[in-house]
Amino acid sequence: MIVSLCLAIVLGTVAGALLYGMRQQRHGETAMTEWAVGGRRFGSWIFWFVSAGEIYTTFAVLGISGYAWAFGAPAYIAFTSVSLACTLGYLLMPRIWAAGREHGLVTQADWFAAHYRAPWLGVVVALAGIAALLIYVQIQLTALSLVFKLLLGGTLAPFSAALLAAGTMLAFVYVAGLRSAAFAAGVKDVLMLVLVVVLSIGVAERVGAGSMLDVYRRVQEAHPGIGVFPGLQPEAGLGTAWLVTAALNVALGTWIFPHMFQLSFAARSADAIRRNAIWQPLYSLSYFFILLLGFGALLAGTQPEGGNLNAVLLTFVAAHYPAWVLGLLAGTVCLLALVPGSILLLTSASLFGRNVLLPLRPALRDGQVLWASRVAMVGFAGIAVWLTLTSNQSLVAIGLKAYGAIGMLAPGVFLGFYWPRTKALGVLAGLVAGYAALLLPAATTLWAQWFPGWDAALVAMGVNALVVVAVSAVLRQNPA
Amino acid sequence: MTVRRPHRWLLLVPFVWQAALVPWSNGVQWRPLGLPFPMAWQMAGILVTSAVLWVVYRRDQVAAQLENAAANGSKADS
Repeated sequence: MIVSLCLAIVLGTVAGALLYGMRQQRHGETAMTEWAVGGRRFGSWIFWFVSAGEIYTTFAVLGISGYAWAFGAPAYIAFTSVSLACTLGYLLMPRIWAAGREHGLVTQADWFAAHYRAPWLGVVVALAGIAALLIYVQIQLTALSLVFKLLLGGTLAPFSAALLAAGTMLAFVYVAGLRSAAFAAGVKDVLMLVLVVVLSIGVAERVGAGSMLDVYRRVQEAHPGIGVFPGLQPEAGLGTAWLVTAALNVALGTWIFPHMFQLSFAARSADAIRRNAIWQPLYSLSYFFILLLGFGALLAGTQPEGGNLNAVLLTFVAAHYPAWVLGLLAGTVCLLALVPGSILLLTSASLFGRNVLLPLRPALRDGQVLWASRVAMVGFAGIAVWLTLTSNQSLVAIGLKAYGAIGMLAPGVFLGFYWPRTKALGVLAGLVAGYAALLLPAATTLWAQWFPGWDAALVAMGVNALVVVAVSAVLRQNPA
Repeated sequence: MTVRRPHRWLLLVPFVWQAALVPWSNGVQWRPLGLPFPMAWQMAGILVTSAVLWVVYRRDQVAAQLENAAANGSKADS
């Protein structure tokens, strides 16, 4: 029952996506443009679904509910980061869109190469982008493995589960490009809405509360301090300073992710982007229900296997809801992982083909590059499986790591648009300094002393930006 | 000619509401509808953000029209 419902949801969506993708496919566009940026014809609705699909993934549903269950208030980052990201997106995305139109850009690395007139910078940025994307794929594989383990019982080894998840994701993306993902994103959003309503209506009754608001009242009585920072585990260091810095880092990094950057190219008009920015924050009010479910699980005494906070929602629903609800949840979570995961793999593949392979082997034809990109995607999926198996962090922690990694490209984008004197060598120097500030143990120890309670990724982004400005200013005085 | 867009300073409001005022909101004891205040504050901030973006969008449309009119006007002159 649970397995068949889950399968029906995933296979039905794939079939619908294929039909939709075939119907929309038009002639006159090169294969790469059609596959990677949907032929630049995304109107407001498709744009909404795809960009919402990228923001509301398993990170949001399994990650945030687990965070609410384990920490309490720190889960509010879901409310903070989307609004701030949309406010920045309102200014930044139309500029990205216009640059894409003007120069016929397909990927983010294209923009770096064109804007800074430095093809080598495109290669560097493509590799940095792929690294951050693979950490994001890791989130989706972790979640998908959890669902497979739940469906197939405890006999499934972590390696087989992750491999199966990666295989499903590749199968999902191979068949078609971004247009099919847009359809699947729509289905997934509607299913998510239905699921949130079904789960939330029942939650009060199942934990002995009178109403949804009563769940919030009771959880604050049972766990004093859960609703305010630093939350249930003060030693975790998730205070107000963490919320502000982590949310800013997420907001600054959101549109810098190569797939989000590329999404701006896919829009039909700058107006479609701006209108989307107005409505998108309202969608994040739905986190009220995700937090509700996390707190409900806490009141019900849910204890996921091995204390794995990513499994809180699945364990809670498995124990307290009928089988069909669990099947619906399992199917929806599969889509929540597959849709963004496939877009992430697709983006890494097009970055590799266009911006790493093509500059090194300029003689290749469009079709050959596409073929090589699709092969490279298998390799990327393999790396993501390896990342998944070597880490057992919470989805939110992995997510913040991915934002930390992509934040390294943020100074090059923001300064590129708003400070005309920014130089390619400055961006490279900033990148090197930023990675050092992010990854060197000595640096992270220093930030913990100087900026206690901050998200170190924001500090590293600041170091990066300062170096970009300093080097660009020096180069201006001594033109090489 | 470019039209000035002073209304874009409004885009700072979400950052003040949802980031700068976080330490203050964390100390408020009042629980609207039984919700923890910092959570209710963030949710209100989402409504404020959408409202601010809507106002800025409308003002931007007006500014774009002025810009177009000015561009057409200068073409007609020359």
